[in-house]
Amino acid sequence: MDGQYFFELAFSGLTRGSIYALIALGYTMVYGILGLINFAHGEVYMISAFVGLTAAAICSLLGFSLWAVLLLTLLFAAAYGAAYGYTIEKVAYRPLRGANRLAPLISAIGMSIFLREYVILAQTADFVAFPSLLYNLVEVDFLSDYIGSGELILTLVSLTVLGGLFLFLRYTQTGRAMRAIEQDREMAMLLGVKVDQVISLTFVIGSALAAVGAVLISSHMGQINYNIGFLVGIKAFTAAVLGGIGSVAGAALGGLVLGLVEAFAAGYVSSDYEDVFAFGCLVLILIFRPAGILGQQQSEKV
Amino acid sequence: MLRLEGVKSGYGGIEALKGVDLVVRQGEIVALIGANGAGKSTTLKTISGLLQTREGRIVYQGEEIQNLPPEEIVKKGLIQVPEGRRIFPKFTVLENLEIGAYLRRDALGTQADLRYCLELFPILAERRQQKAGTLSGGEQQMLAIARALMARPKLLLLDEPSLGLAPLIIQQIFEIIKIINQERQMTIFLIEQNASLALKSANCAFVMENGHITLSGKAGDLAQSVEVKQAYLGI
Ligand SMILES: Nc1ncnc2c1ncn2[C@@H]1O[C@H](COP(=O)(O)OP(=O)(O)OP(=O)(O)O)[C@@H](O)[C@H]1O
Ligand SMILES: [Mg+2]
Repeated sequence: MDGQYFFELAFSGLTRGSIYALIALGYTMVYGILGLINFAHGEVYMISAFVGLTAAAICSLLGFSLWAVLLLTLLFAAAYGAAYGYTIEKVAYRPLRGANRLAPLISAIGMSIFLREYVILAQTADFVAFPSLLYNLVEVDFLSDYIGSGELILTLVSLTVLGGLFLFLRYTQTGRAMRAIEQDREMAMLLGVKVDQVISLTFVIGSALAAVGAVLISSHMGQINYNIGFLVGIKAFTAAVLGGIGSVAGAALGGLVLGLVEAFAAGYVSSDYEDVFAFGCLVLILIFRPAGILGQQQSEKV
Repeated sequence: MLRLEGVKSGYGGIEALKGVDLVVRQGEIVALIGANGAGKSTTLKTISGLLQTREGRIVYQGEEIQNLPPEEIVKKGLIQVPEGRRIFPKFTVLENLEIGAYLRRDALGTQADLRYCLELFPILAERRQQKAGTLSGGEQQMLAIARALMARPKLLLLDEPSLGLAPLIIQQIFEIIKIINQERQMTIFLIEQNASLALKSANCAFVMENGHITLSGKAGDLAQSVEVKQAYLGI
């Protein structure tokens, strides 16, 4: 075995995996708190990519430095994505709270279709080019055999955001309130937690993370269209289930595992097979550990 | 301090409270006793704002509080320890206590209350890093009470603190209830099925049947009354 090649694949897996993790968190946090799969999450990701495109174009025209363009694009896309997430929850899910479990699920699918069609009409159904915001920002010598400077920035940004989220959930009262609602919503109310507000915040954070992921991958891939949310959404959802849906650490771990499996499958077998390995891995986990790697067997939420 | 006047509430089509009147005076321990399904827990849920008050008024310190959202009621100092403890199992003991102080902004006072709680319940101090889900039933009840104390209640609402616990632990918990009532001048509204225990600890008591208050008075007098003796004390 070739060590050089192995590390290249490992870094490429880490890069993908950190993005899957970012997006998987949105699924898992919403699931944890509402017991709902937010099918519109992939669409928030897609719309944020379009917003990022506009923001990047404007910032470049204004003549900002490369770093400033990247940061402003991330911020702008995150803010916009957050606004979408907030609105989706308000419009599509909140009115159905307390209804039959199937109703919000259908609402989620409807929301997802609506957003895709909206982008096709308002933007275009074709692929559009996305500027590569990540390159030429830094010179890396020591790792350059294994990872490009763009991938390195991508991985560092997403790992930093992940780390920030963990600190938030662990050490702030609001983050704690989120985890408390997951465990016992009524009890959280009895301690003074404004549950609706915290649920909104969950959507806001999850969507902002997806938007960060969207800008990073889009600038890595170089093009976007209305359909990009679909496959990424499925992959991230797979990552969330793999790690144990509802578990934040699980989503991060699931994302990384999925990214590594794909990268090694693509590198040692064939890139045609990477999805086969990714979903095969999911099937195996579901057979042998149905609750996911870090998930706990849970009884139905009531 | 707290007065319910003709309060009606319930679940969907079920009317569980059919016009409840009761009074809790400042500084006292007031007990509410009654059989299973009488509506005791429903009374607390209605006070805490988890259930709509359909008719009647709930007056707390001269102010009508019926149908305020739960967090407003918590802000006013009415803190409930619900039936079945409801500690957060995935949190450590310490995290459970810290989330009890969710609405507080006075870091110093919160720290002081944390010390007070850990002194009051030394077992919790010992277990502070342990996951709350792994505590015994008695320890969980202590944690539930301590978590409520962290919110610095003016009126503590306790729903069946003795539920499912061994006599020795029950005794310990009731001693602590009396201590907080005296040391902290905290008013306590205590729901119990264990009527003899409740009547021993309380100043006054109300008896609930089928969504109505049927008897009320000084705890000592009620303990002597024929109806209560027959129905609840098994004498
Ligand atoms: N979530 C609910 N949905 C529908 N009905 C309920 C609900 N909770 C309680 N009830 C009904 O309301 C009535 C009063 O119940 P409540 O829980 O207040 O009784 P309780 O006096 O606390 O009894 P216990 O001593 O067993 O705790 C009962 O008839 C019960 O069946
Ligand atoms: Mg009850």
